[in-house]
Amino acid sequence: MAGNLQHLKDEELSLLETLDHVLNRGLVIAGEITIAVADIDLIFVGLNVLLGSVETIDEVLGQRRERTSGRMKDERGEEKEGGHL
Amino acid sequence: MNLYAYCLSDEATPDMIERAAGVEGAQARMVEHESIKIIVSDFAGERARVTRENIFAHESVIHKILARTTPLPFRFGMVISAARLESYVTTHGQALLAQLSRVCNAVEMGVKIIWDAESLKRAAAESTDGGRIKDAHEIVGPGAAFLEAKRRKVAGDEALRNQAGELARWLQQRLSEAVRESSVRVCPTEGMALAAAHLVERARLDQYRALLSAARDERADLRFLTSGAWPPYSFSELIS
Repeated sequence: MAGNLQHLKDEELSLLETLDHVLNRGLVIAGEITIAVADIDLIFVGLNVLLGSVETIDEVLGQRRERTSGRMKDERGEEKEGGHL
Repeated sequence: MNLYAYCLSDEATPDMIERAAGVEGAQARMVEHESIKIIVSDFAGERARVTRENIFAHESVIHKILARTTPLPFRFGMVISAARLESYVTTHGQALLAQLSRVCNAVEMGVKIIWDAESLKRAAAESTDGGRIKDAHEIVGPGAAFLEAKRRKVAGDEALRNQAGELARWLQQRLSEAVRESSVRVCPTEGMALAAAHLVERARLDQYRALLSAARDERADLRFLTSGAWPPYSFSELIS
């Protein structure tokens, strides 16, 4: 785990720390926070360092899977059946 | 047209966010209700996309305010109508001013301590065996093997939590002179002993950094991830 961190660039560590703050904490007006997870670099998924942020994004991804009923857009923005985000 | 809300302040002025590009590239501006200033930008959609650019834009706008005064930051993604935002500030004005007073002249500093959890758990499990691991022939049958594995896991997890708690108390003691408030999560993940957020007065930042540096030197066996100064995300209580 610690070894993985050594390979992260400063910019990537900075992004991880920023995500951990802005996605998990701060003022919330109940029922008003909605985010759309798109194209975020999932470099931290395997690291388990900032699990809070990963869980937050996983929750959102799970909700999106349910809402889109198995349809997703590929990189070109074209819809296709099935697959996982 | 909705608004994207970044933060609240009682001292911000419009010049602090001159030419500040926010989420989706929109120009940040300030609105005011009940003597509370809210930093916002126009937002055409219903949901904020979690992209690298938007994340850093959100943080960049708030940091422009933080450079001069301490705001209460909104969590990323606060898309709201102007009417709803005004209602929120009007309804909770006194509580918001109290929170602004709580974080006045302070910033948030972050400390995460990373350790080798597997080694610690193994050592803890072995210590409950009197210093030895049971040989394979001593574990008879799948049931006994399952129970032995379960016992070792429970012993390891408990030892990990206890050690993390001790670490949290140790760190708090080392930094207490420079810290106004702390928010600590013990064992937020197995690989992380603790994740701490410290509210530190701006005038004490040098003292805080010196105390933290000394603490790191004391525990060279641990990995410290430090960050800050942040807006006080961990000290902005949720108000519904």
